[in-house]
Amino acid sequence: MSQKPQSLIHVSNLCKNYGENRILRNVSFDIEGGDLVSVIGPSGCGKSTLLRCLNCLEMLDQGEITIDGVCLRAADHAKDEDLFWRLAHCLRQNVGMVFQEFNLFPHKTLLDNIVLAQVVVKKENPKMAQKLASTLLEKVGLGAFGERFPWSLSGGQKQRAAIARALAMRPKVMLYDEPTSSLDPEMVEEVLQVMRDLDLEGMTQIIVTHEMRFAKDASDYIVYMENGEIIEISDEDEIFINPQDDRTRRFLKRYM
Amino acid sequence: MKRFFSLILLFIACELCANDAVLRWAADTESGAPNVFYEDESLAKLTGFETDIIERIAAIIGRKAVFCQNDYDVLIPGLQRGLYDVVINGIVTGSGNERNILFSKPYYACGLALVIRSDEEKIQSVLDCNESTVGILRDARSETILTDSLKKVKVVFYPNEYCALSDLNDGRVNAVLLDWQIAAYYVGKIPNLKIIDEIGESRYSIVAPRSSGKLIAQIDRAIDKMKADGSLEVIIAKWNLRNGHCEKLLAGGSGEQLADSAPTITKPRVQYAKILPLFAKAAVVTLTISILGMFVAVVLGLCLAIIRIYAPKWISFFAISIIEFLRGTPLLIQLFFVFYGLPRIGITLPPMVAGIVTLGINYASYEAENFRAGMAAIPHGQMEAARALGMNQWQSLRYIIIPQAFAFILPPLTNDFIALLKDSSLVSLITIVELTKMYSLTASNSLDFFGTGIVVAAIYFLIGLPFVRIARWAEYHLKLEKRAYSSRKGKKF
Repeated sequence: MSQKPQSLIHVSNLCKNYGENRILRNVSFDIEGGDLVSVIGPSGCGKSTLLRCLNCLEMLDQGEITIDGVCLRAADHAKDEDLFWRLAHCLRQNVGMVFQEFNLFPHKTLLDNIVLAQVVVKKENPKMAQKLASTLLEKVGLGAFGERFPWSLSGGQKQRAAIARALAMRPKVMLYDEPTSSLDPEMVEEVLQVMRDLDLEGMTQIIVTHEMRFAKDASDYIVYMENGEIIEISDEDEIFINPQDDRTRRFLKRYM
Repeated sequence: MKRFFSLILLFIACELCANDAVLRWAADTESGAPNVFYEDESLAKLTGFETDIIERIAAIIGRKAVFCQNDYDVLIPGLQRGLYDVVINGIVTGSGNERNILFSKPYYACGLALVIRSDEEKIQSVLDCNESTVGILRDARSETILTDSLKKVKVVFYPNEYCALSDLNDGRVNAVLLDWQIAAYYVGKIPNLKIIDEIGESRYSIVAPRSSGKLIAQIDRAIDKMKADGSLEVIIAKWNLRNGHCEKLLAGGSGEQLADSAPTITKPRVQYAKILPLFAKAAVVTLTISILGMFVAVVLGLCLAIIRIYAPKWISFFAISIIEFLRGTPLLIQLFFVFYGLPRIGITLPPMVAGIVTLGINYASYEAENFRAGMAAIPHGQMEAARALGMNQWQSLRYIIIPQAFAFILPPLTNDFIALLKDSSLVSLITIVELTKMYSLTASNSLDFFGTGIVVAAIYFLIGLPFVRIARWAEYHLKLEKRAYSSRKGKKF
């Protein structure tokens, strides 16, 4: 290929509106494989929406998203809706998502939660799927909980199970939408530890978070968003020690 | 399940065996005496003077008489629908819609009889009935006669003669005007009643569809033959139904008197042991219709709900219209429409199928709304999580949303099943003999609406009960908290 090597995630001029309300305004960034990126910013700044757009849970109104070579253009949706959603489906295959509210399937055991999508979407052999599910549960420290239902678990355990479920699809990118926001403080650390471990293994991760300490310690980059725009992208130390923008400074003052 | 299907097949087979070797004849045995009725409450053997006549006719024309039960009100529609070949059930010659049916030569004649209590003093003839209450059957003739000549008479309609006559006995009406031969039969059986007046004359014919000209000609010849050889008179005499009108009709035949001993009909003591097997059979029919009907309702309801929520707007609007329409029209009308109306456009369903389909689509509208509510109750995050894992919309519904919704709506679903079980009694109106029909058949035969009523109510209740238990059990096992709880039973929290 003569093309210059593209970054794993490439977003350009992404716009998203809810009616008159402009949630994302011309958001552009690149993320290299293996990076751990934290997205911070005040409530309502559009960071969750950005994440959901990356997974096509929200329709993008303008701009384009490329993840691992699959390119999704808002303009294509108008032209050929069918093709767009087929591409979106391809794109999703490379992206795992973890939600603030866990969204485990309450009618299934942890193992079945993890096995289901493998069998249904990837047509994986159920035996193999089961094996992978056990391995992943082991990895997030829930090896003994496979037969339990989500209801009987603590918040931290549920979130770790949700991460295992996303990993079972062998994604290239993991997205976390405020993964620790609905957890009791003493359970936050066990979830963050799983993400640190994944970082060491080279997983690309984007985390929308309010955990400034974790953002500072663990991430390669920090993205600061406000009002639907990316205000600042920087090295983790840089942004905490010497914020370039007034708005970033004001926001961080409240947290640090 | 196998048995249910074989039962349906049997019904379909009945539909198909319309060959020439048999003469399928229909009547309503409910309160059918003395025309066509069962000998006792075991419903094993048909009897009645019309039964005797039609069997003799069938023998003469060389066919085997096969009886088909149908409700009196829909005997003629059933005939046009091809459910059977002829109707013999006190149909008055030339009555009803003559364009669509053929009448045979009359085989019997009588007038209308006025029945009063023995101790009644005011009423001595029909003309005395002004300012009194007179009971009649669902029969336009009696009403016309009464209201034309008497301006102040109050007319009360009764579904059957037994109700009319026992109400007369109880004093709710002053007199009852009904076909003489029915009055003659009952007056001996119900104490304190007497016939005091007779008016008008009606002749009874066998009827066949317009297209059966050949058959009616054969029947006419058979009736002539029976008049000639005296067998018609013998039958009429056997049932003690001779009267002046009938003598006139028979004039021309040989006047031979061959009076058999008149059948002694005494009100028997009801033997419940005898009717239980019948009710068991009827209960199987009720169950078959209800279970298959509910199955249709759940499947169709789920489809409608999914279409309503997820399909493009105009298709979803279509689904909403169907749901609203089905919910907004009476089940009975839908049933009549499907069974008697659709044949007009070439869709002729066997009774069982028509019953199941109608109950199914009617209840589908309710189940669709149940499912919609159930699916709406599932948090949006469930769908998002499924989509984020790469499942398409259908897979997300199939594996994530619907199973959870199902657990939610089990209680209303059970409710609807019980309601459907009871509504299944309506299919008795499309010739199916299920529990309710069996009740009115046996009770009108044994004249025991009380005891039989308790028995049949108990059967309905007992049929419904296991389903309520099953639903409770399923609810318990589908409820997630409960399931989690049960797996922790015995452990300390």
